[in-house]
Amino acid sequence: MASMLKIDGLSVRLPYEGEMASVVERISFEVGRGEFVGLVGESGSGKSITARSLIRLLPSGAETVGSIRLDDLDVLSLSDRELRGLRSTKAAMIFQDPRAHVDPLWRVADHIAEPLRLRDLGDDVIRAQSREMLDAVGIADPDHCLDAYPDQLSGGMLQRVMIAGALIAEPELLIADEPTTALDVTTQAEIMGILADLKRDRDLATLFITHDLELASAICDRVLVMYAGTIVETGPCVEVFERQLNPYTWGLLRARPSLTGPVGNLEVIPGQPVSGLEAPSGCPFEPRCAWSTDRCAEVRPPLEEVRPGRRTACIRIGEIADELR
Amino acid sequence: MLELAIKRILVMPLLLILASFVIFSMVYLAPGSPEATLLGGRQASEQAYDQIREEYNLDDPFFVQYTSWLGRFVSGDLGDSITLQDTAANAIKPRILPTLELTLLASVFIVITGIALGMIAALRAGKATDLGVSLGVLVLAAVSPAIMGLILISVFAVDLGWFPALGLGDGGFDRLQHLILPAVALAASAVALVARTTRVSMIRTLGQEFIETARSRGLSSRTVVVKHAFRHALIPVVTISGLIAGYLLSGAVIVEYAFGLNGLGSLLVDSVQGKDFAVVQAIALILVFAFLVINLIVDLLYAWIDPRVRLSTERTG
Amino acid sequence: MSTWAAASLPVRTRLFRSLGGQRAAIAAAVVLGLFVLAAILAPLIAPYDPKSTDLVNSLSGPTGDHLLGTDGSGRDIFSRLIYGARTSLGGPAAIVLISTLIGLPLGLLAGYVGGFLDGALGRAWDLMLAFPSLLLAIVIVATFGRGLTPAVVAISITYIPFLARIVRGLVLVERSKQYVAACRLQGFGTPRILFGHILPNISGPVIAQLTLNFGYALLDLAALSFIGLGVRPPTSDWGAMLADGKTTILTTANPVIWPSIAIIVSVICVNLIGQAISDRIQRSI
Repeated sequence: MASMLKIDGLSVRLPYEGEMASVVERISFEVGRGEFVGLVGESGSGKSITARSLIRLLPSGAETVGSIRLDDLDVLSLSDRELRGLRSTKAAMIFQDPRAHVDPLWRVADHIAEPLRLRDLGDDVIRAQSREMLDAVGIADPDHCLDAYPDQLSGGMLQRVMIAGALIAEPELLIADEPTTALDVTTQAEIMGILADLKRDRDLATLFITHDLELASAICDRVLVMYAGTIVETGPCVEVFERQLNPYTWGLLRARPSLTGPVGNLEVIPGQPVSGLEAPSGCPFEPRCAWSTDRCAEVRPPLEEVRPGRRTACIRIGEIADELR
Repeated sequence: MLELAIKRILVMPLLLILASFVIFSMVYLAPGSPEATLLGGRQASEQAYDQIREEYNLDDPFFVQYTSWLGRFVSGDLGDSITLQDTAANAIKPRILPTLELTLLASVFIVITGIALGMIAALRAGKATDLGVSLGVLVLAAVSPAIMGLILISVFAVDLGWFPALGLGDGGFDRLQHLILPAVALAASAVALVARTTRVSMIRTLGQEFIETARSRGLSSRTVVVKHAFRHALIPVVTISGLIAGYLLSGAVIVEYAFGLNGLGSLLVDSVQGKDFAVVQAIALILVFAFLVINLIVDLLYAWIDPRVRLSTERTG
Repeated sequence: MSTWAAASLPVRTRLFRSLGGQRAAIAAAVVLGLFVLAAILAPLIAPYDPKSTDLVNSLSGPTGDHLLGTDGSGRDIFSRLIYGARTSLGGPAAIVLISTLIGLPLGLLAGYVGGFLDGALGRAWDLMLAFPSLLLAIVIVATFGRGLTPAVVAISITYIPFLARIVRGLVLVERSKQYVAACRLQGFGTPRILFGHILPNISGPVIAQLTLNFGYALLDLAALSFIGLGVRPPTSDWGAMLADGKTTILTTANPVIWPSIAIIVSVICVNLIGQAISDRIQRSI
């Protein structure tokens, strides 16, 4: 599968209290054309920063090192103008809180049409395409919606509007930063349904950021698990969900009550999740890991393939794999 | 939107009437008899007292006096000026235009300079320009119209001779020349307030999430600022325009006095100093009316700019 | 603090630090303190009697005899400046005190009790705020006579609605917090809750506002004195000195410059202190 996105050795540092702190540390991964990849992690794991770095949407003062290739374009070396071209044609991003991310002073029509206004199209063409797009994301009355203000719409509808606005420019990569986290469960299911339809109908490559491994496994082809600024495990979604090959991923799933099976005592990963800023040298999960040894604290474990298509960053996985059930 | 407008338009006259009641009652609140107050404490003959009593219906019950006073006022009879030996209306009429010109010129100055400075400081936040503007604002905020006026006269009129020092001049361009220094004096500390508000608001707006969305779509920084940030950042400025209007009306009094301009403000000062009560009441009522009208316009403007305000009154449940 | 938020410190704090931050505020407090001290010790410091005129030497610039020169009637400006601090700094202090003594309790009650009281007070404030503030003061002074006391009282009255509204807003936010419910459950009476618990919690923003009000009061009082409705010559007062200097402005600016500087410096100091206080509050949130 030709790759849409190729990340190699990406590190991001942000200014923090007068110094530069590492929030993403040498991560590498790929997203193929039309592939739906989940990027899973808790807050502080660096997943949102990673997502934004793909189109260089980071706060001023951020330092990005490594290689980001989007459709074979070297994103980090693009000029400002080329970057804007990339953002308006090749990649699009949708965000977590639709109400905060859509300009409340603008009508829906203007919001959706904004990417199109960068091209020379007539007003009726723009309106027609906007209506079509709203239809594609499942809005019942597109005309009424177009004339409304964000304040008049529910969170779910607004998220659809945001998706419509992102896709109207026909990007090849969609970066979705926790699009359903701020919505209630029913709406969440609807939005996930829309994304699944779009994936099927448009062959759209998607990087889906979430903290919910189970949610990711429902829709993603592959999943990448992040912790403290690094990727700790990757693999096909269903496989990772059924059988984890990393103590962190294992702990993450155990800590979530099952909606189907009996609920015993919830297992909790001791300690607090650590962000890239505070990560110790050596394995970042070591202080909280039940299988850690002294060796684990010395060297940062590399992300290695331990089975076909399955990679993990754990030097003890060979020994402890059977215990992770 | 219409419903909101109607509601606001109805409340205003109520406030105006209440205010007029207070202004009218001044005559009775003042120490001494109403007649003495209206005569401004001057020595007067028995006849003069009777005249006053008749003219202002002081023998009638309080409320009747008030309504007839208000009635006369509305029909154009604003009372008589003791000091000027003329009707108050005649004294006031020629003074309105200069004050209007002064405040309008000052407003233009405040809006343009204040917002521009605030925007520039915000877009270069944390850097040298921002620091410079913030320091300037700190100083300007401390300079009241009186001080600014005197300094401007001394520097630009007396020392440098660029502008005339006092008076209104003879219409047209000469008038403009005479009004520039007073308008700057009047605008100075309001510019500080507007610049500070704009700066903080713009910085806040630029940190909002929808700006991130705009950037992620490939819009240039300039487009993002002009099309999205600008409107949002100005909302708090519209909110304080009412405050600024009040400041302008009060400040005009000071500036007119400092520059010897024959406007409504200087007439007010003269009348208070000369104890010309009727004129004071008339000017007070006119200024309150102007202030309330301006506040009404500001409220409507605010609702027009921010659809969330409109919608909060239209939404059901 | 999420890694995201960590990347951008509030710009205001950054700027405040570069403007000198707490150090500037402390310096400001020292300067202001010196002014106050000078005012109190005036009879000991001032070289001349501020009211004694000397027409021969009028309108002189700074000389060996007169540190800052003399005004239109030959009075020593330096001495007048020192004595003037009494009314120019004492007056605003009185204004803040009076308006707070009345406005604070009313705001507390309106915000906490709500209902009819809040509505009635709200309408009263609306009415008072229908007058541009200085205009209201002028009207009051016109009614009751001029001088320092009427001016102070008049300006105090115009500040009450602002303060009451701000306090009311703060109380409304506090009222829904849990510690208030806890107090009520324990059977505390309203005054105890208001003054013992709510007031301390809102004291930060209130003090910051009062500090700013001091600055505004200084300017307002000087303005009233400038147009002859407050303190009048021959009493020393910075505003009155401005009024006096105005009559000779076309000849020399010296009599106007020094009271102007005094006012500007005082207000800047007050504003720096007020800004430091509100920054402190923001940081502790």
